Formats: sequence, structure tokens, C-alpha cells
Amino acid sequence: MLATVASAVVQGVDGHPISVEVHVSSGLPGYTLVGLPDVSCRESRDRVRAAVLSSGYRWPSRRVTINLAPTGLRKQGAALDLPIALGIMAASGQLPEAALRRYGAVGELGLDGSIRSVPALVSLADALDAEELLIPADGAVEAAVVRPGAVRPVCDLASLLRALAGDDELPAPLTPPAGGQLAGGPGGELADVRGQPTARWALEVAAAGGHHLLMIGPPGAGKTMLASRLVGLLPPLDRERALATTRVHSAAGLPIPEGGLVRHPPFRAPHHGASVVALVGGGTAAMRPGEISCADNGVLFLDELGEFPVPVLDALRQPLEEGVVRVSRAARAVTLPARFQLVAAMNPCPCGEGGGDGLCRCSEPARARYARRLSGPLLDRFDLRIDVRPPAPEVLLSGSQEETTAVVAARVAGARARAAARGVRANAELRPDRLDQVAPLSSAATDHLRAELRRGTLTGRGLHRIRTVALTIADLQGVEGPLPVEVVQAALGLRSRPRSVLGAAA
Amino acid sequence: MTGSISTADRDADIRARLSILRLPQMSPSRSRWLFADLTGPDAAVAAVERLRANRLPPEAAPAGMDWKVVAAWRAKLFELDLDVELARHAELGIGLLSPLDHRWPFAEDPEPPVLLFHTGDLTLLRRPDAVAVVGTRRCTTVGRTVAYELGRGLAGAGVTVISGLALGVDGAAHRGAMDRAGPVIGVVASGLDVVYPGGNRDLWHQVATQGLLVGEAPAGDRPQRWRFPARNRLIAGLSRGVVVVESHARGGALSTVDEAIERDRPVMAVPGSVLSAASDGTNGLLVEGAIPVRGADDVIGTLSFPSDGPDEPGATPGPTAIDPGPAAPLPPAAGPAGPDSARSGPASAGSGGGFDAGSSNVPDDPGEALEQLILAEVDTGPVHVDRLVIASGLAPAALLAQVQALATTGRLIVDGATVSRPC
Repeated sequence: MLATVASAVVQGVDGHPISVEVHVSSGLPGYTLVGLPDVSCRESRDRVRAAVLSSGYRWPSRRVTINLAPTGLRKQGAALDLPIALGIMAASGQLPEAALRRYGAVGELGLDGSIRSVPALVSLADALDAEELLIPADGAVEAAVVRPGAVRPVCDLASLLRALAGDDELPAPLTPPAGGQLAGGPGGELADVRGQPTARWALEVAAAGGHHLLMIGPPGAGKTMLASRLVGLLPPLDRERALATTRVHSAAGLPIPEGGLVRHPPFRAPHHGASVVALVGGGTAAMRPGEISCADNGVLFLDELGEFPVPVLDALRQPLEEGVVRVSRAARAVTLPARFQLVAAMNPCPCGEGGGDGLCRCSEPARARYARRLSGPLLDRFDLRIDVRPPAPEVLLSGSQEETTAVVAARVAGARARAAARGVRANAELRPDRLDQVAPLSSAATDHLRAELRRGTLTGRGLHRIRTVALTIADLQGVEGPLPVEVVQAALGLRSRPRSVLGAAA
Repeated sequence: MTGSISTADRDADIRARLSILRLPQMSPSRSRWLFADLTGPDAAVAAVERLRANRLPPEAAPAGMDWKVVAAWRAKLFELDLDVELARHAELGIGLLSPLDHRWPFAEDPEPPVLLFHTGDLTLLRRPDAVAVVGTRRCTTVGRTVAYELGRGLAGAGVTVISGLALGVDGAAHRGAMDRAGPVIGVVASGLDVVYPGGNRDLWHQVATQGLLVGEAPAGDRPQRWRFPARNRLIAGLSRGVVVVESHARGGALSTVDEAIERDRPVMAVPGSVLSAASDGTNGLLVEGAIPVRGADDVIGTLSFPSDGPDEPGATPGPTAIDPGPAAPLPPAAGPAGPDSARSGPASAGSGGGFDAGSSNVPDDPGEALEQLILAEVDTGPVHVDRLVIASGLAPAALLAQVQALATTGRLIVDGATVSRPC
């Protein structure tokens, strides 16, 4: 007898519908799984058999052939356990074949018949070609976000089979929780950062304009603390972006917050030991998204930038330019989203004390090697480069109050609204050719920039970035019309180029 | 002198000299031995002939000379193909300058090189005003900043900056000079096609294209250890004076100083903290009588160069990092009693508003008051901008703008977020 169950697999962040065809026929007892299953998928045979027996059903002592169609697509992981089990039950006559017709299923089986969640439920639910979906209860909320009213959360095989046979009720379809209030912002509170007004302001500009930020400073200067404050300043994700980010997080197997949607910009901070694959994705047959995709619509924080291997840093350049990362392997290629804001921190030199003060213990070649890690093209991407120093102790002890995250976030939202009126999410996305139109320079500002160019402290490439940052500063200050010279000078002040670290030209 | 020498003689001279440099285990003292007692335009040809005939004067041999080396030299003379050697230099764009050339800069030098290999703008050798800026490779941030600003300042005054293309002080001085598009000469210890140190590759090529690169080693020669002190005598010989920015108690920069003293070149040193090991050598020089210098002005004053350079028609001996702005430059931020006439400088070049108060000397204008506050804060040493923000009570945007404006007019030096007064 033949039974077919709709299911899905994921590659990258995209789900692909597949159908699980089960054929049970006379012949020597045996079990064949075809259709490009990988090892974890092939192992399903033992899990499914145990789960069926534990649930009180028979395992057919006949020839069982399972085909995963389309056969050209590689199937990976345990998500097909549940549809295989359902197909075998129907094909062996223990479940009316008609009972499965309106359902698609994904889920991993335990040996006791319990149904466990699998990664990428958002993408899988999206791709499932069926009226209603049987989804492991653990992750059903994620699936319900993309298929509201069609997701039935299921917990164990025995009760599911009973319900499908008509002896029991299926669990009611899940409705996604209403939007509701966002629970407290992510990251830390900006008011905790005291005595570092320039760094605080740089964070504000970075949040308002979506500018990539590089912080250079000795250990203990608060670089990591500052970076974690950035996501709190960013506006919450709108529904479309929240969905896109949730899809990536789900595919990467990251925990999805209650409510099933990632609504705050994500903050990802991979360790500098991360490999290229961990960062850009594509490690397994499922082409799992990497850290930069998980930071999509959020912040990617690279602490100790100088310690990252050069190939890893160079791998960031294309995604930074295009907002997506294309991962190609011999058999397949996927495009993963990667529109992230890059925040990086590094010490001025390997010993960390090279900022000034003459405490550095590094030899000149060691410092040169360290600085060379940052290729010019990568350094160019950082619109904002600041020197961070530990705050003076008297400021920390003074008990003065700094602005809170909420106050600064409101200003950021205002600036982002002005950017939206130009048709971009943030000023950093403005193309050079549009700058003349949306951000003309006052004559004094033009003179100043010309002088900087002549002095050799600014390159042509840097000029465009300076204008973009200046526009963001003007947005934050509510300045209209041509950019005044003060705003351009302030932007130059945020593009620091400490000679001791970065050499002379920038 | 040149008029009486034919092209053929000149060619023979260069070939003889190049063959001497190509002999195995050659060094300056050994090459002097080859030339012993020989003078005149045909000295090199005669020296090679004498070696070929094995008639070197034994009494002039350097101490510890191994006569097996002479045998190796003579063997090498027979197998050397000078046409190939010359073609190789031509291919690499490396020129060969011999003492017979009227541009030869070492006519009065006690230890001239056998040949000078060069690439770049050879006319720079003829400029009368050239200053060597040298120092330790392991310099402090302060030393690097001083060297950079010194390079900029000298370039701004049209003075040629000579240095050794090493890491640290040498490179910073050259970078400063080239950021100002000034004339530079790099004197290297290896063949001109052997970049060393690798970290300064970009600088090496920039000096070769924007200025002049010279050395006494033929193409392909590695920078052996003994070549660096030898190179230092060329730096001293090409310059009118030597400035040491930072040096440890022992270091290559001090050998440049010895060579400069031997050649009657004034030695200048930048004073440093007595607590800094990187200034032990320079402070020691000052104790021994070197001329203390704080910046390019002092150097120019010491060597009494003409004060304005050819590419800076408006520049006067003012601060070292002045931008060619529409107005006259300002004196260094010495205090509130600066001359009135200069006050309009930063306002017209820097800011359209805020501190446009023109010629008023009274700090009742808020921009002026802020300027004075910033200059007072940096008076005791470099500070981080955060401190200026807190001290002024201004928003970071406004303060950074003011700092940039002051940096543009040369009244402040900004290195990253560290602000200091010009040296």
C-alpha cells in the first residue's frame, strides 16, 4: 500500500516542500530509505521503529520503501521522523489513508514516541504544502507566526495517531499571540556609561545613521559595555523585518523569544576563534546561517578585532557591501540575508596599552603586524572610529546622571524618520550619487573639506563617508538645509585615525 | 672637471665601480683598500687593474684581512658579466651615480660610497636645504607624533626630509613630510629592489615615486647587519643637519650622530621625559651639547634656512602644522597675548559661525572663550577629548567641531581622540 505525507526541508533560510512517499509491500521484511537522505536522516529508521512500538502500534514485518521527493534535494536532520512514521502507519493500514490528506508534518521522534522540536520551524511551516500543519508543540509558536490558525501543536505520537484515527480530538490550532507591549529593551542601559561623552555620542550617531563603528582602546575602557548598549538605541523591528530575522534565527536553531517573533534588533558577538564558516554560514548540508546572518537587521559585534584571522575578516567585505552573503558549495548555493551593522573593538596594540601614556610594551614589528590585520578596505567601512579610554575616576564617583537609553532612542527614532523620508532605512545606505541632492554642503563646509583633502588627512573615499555621517549628525540635531561646517567638523572628529594604530593615511 | 672626461671613460669608471661592489664579502673598509693611493678620474679602473694583477698594497690592508678573500675577488672579476649587471639595474629602474658625475653629493665626504644607486627625483640631491630626521624604531606615541609633525613642518617650509625608511621615527617623519607633499630622500641599507622592512613597503614605494631613494648597495643585495651603520654615514653626509627625535641609550640613531659630528653637521635632539627609556639617548645628547629643538621652527632657525619654501608662498616661520589657508598662520598657542592680526585666521578658514568674532582679543565671545579653555586644558600635556567635553560642558558634537577647527589651523594636534598642542 502507498501513503504520501507532505513535509519540508530547509536549506539556508529557505524551506522546500517535499513529499514523503511510503510503500509497504509483501516481500522480505526490510526498510529502504531513498531520495538523498544524509546520515542523520537515515538514522530515522531506528527512532521511528522504536517510537511506533512504544506508542503501542505494530511495525510492519514487510518490505518498507520510503522515497523523499523531489529526489534531487539533499535531506538532512531528524525533522522527517514524524512524516515517515505517519506514512508507515497509513501504508500499513493502521491509520486510514484519508486521515493524512489535509495535514503536513515535521518533527523529530523520541524512542518513547514523544515529538520534539526541530530547527527552522518558521521556514519549514512556510514551505509546507498542506492545509494544516502538525508541528512539535515546543516550537509551534514560531510556526504559527507564519501560518496563523493552521498550526496544531502535537506532543506525542500515540495521542496524535489516536486523534488522526478519529478516536480523539486534535489539539486546537494555535493563533499567534497579539503584538502586545515589548518587554524591556535589549542590551544594557545607556545611563550606566558615564564619563565617556564622546563614545556615548558616537553610539547615538551610529544608531541613528546605521554607521559601522570601530572602537579602539585599552582593556577596561568599556568597549564591550558600549557595544552592548547599541541595540537598545535602535528602533524595534517592523513586522516584515522581524519575520525575516525570526526566520534566520529559527533556521540557525537560536531560541526564539516568547511570542514567536524576534522583535528587537539582534546582537551577535562571535568570539574571535570563530571560523569563516561559523561567520558566513553553510557548514552543514542544511547550509545553516552563520553569525552574520543571525545579526541580520541587528548588530554584529566583533570584540578583539585584531585577533580575528585575516580570512575571517576578509569574508565580511562582500556581505558588508551587498547586504547578503552567497554561500556556494560544490552541490548547491544559497543566499543568506546579512544586512547587519558592524561594531568592532580592538586594542591599540597587542599589549593593549599603546593608546598614549607610554606604557606600551610591544615591539614595533608586533604593532605593525597587529595593525596590518585591518586591511584598508575593511577599515574603510567604518564610518565612525573612536578612541575609547577608561573614564576618569572622579567622574565615576561624582554620581552625575547621564541620559537614559529611552531618551537617546527617541532622538534616534527622529533621525531615522528623516532618513526614511529619503527612502532609506538609515543614512549609511545612501548611495554617493544621491548625496549631492539630499545633503548639499554649505560653502564653509566645502572649504573645510577642501582644506582637509589638501592637507592629506582625508581621502576621496573618506569624503563620501564623512558627508553621510555629517548628514546623520544634522538629522539628530534637527538641522535643515545645506550641511553647516560645524556638523562636518564633528563628523571628522568621529573618524579618528590614531597614527599609532592605523598608520598615517585613512 | 666633467668637461675633460669622455663618455667612454665615464662608462669604464661605472663598470669598474660596479664590479668592485659585486666582489664577494665587500665592505666599505675593503673597498677603501682597493682604492688606496689612487686618485683622479681613473682611480676605479686602476684599482680593478691592480687587483687583477694581484698588486694590492699589503701595508694598507685592513686589519685581519684574509688573503683568500683576495683570491676569491680575482676569481670573481673573471666571471663577472657587467653587461648583465647593468641591464638588470636598468630594468629595475635603478640609476648609477659615480663620482665623475657633476651631481655627485659626496665630493668632500671622508668615506664616500663607491657608487650611489638611485631611483626617483635625482634633482633633490642638489637642493641645499636637507635635514635628516632619525630615531629609534621602538619609539613612543609621543615620539611618533613629534617625528610626524617635524616632517610636516619641515616639508611645509620646503626643506627636504632625509631619513632611513625604518619603522618608528624614520617612517613617521617621512609620512609627515609626504602628507604635506614635501621633498623626501630615503637612504636605505639594501639594494633598492629589496624592500626592508616589509612593513614599510608602501612608504618605500611612495618615497621612490614622490621623492628620491638612494643607497650604496647594488640591486639584490640583502640588508646585512653591517650595512645599517654604513648607511647612517650616507644620511649624515647628504644632510645639512641631523635631528634625533627619540633614541635609547644605545641605538642606530647615535651612530648617525657620530657620523654627523665627523662631518661637521649640527646635531639636534628633541628633549624627552627623563623617565622615558626611549629618550635616554636624546637627553644624553643634549647633556653633551647637542642643540635642543622642539619642532620644525627650531630646526629651521638652527640651520638658518630661508624661512619660506617654494611651495608655500604665504608661509612664515609660524607653527609647524599650518594649513595653507586664506589667512596668515597663527603663532603657536602660547597664551592669550597673541597678536591681533592673526586672530582672523582660524575663523575664516575654520568655522562659519560660533567663533567668528574676528579681531577681538577679549574672550567674551563664547567661541573665543571655548578656544581658550581648550588651549588651557592641553597646556599641561595631551588629553582625551572626553576630558574637554566634560570640562566645557558642551555637547560632544560642538566640542569636536571646535577641536577640528583648531586642528585645521594648526593650533592643536589631534591624534585619534588625543588632543595636544603643537610642538
